[in-house]
Amino acid sequence: METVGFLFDAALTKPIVTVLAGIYHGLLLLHVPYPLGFSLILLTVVMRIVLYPLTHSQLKASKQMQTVAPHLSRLKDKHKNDSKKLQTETMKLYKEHGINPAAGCLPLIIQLPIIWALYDAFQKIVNMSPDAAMRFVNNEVYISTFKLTMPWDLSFFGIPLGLSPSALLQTMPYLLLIPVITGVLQFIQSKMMILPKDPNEKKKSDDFATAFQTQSTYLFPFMIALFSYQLPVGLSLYWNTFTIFGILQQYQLQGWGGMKFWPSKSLIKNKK
Amino acid sequence: MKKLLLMALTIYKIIVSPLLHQLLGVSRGCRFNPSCSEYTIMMVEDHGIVKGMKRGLKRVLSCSQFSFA
Repeated sequence: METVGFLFDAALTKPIVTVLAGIYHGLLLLHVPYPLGFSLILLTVVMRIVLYPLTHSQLKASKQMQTVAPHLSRLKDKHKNDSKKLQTETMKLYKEHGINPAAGCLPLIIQLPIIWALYDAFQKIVNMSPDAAMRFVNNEVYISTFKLTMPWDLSFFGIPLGLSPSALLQTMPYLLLIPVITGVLQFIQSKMMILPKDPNEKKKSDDFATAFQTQSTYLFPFMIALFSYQLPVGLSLYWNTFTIFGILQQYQLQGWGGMKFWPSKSLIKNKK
Repeated sequence: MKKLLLMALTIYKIIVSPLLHQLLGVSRGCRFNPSCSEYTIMMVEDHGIVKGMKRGLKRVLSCSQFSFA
């Protein structure tokens, strides 16, 4: 376990802190106000750009798999008792639709430790006093020119990055907007992923798993909004930048997706 | 023991996996049909913990261009 921690630190935390310190120095040099907050945002954007090819291939594969999903469930019914046959038929279907089965889940799995490492590094940094953070950064950076000579300012437009909206509820009640924005962004993202269903398709039996899946479009954004209420503002800055970039990338690939049909559909429902 | 494992796999399938999809912003992760988690649950049910998990693991590892199995 210790070696894992050491590897994680050497391969992920240290490079992240090094780049963060580099960006921070650059912003200081340019006299950008609130350099720490903007460093967090910029580093997230840099990370998203680095991950861009991985996410892109994943989104593309995911979109293609959604289009064949009805065929897949038909195959599943047809070859219920023959998993071997089902497998070969599935591969045949993928081939027909030009889906690259080699894309696999690897690009997804690779992203997880990176997302986690960013989260971990940011939560350490914003939870420390500026003095402790300076010692931490100077201990972690690989490039010694990036060492901090002065502790940084944890405020971002007057909002302390290390405190959560819940802790600031008395003094800054308007920060309640942060969990709201986080929830809305998450909702947009998950709604965009759902392609409009074929109206001719028979409604499938609502077992618990499918019901949960439909509910999760609402449940998870709400949950993540609750988290952001409890977590330091600096982390919401990271997560929302991350989500906005994800939404843009999704938009670039397939437009608004399920989001486009959502308002019109609910209007029709209300009319009835 | 087997029941516990099946419960853990089911929890992964219906809670953890969709949450991961939400976090990563993708609608579907697994390219297999039935998905790796569904398959592993089936295998553990039919063949027991050791054989079932072995087959499930083999299935996960056979994903991607770096096929291990």
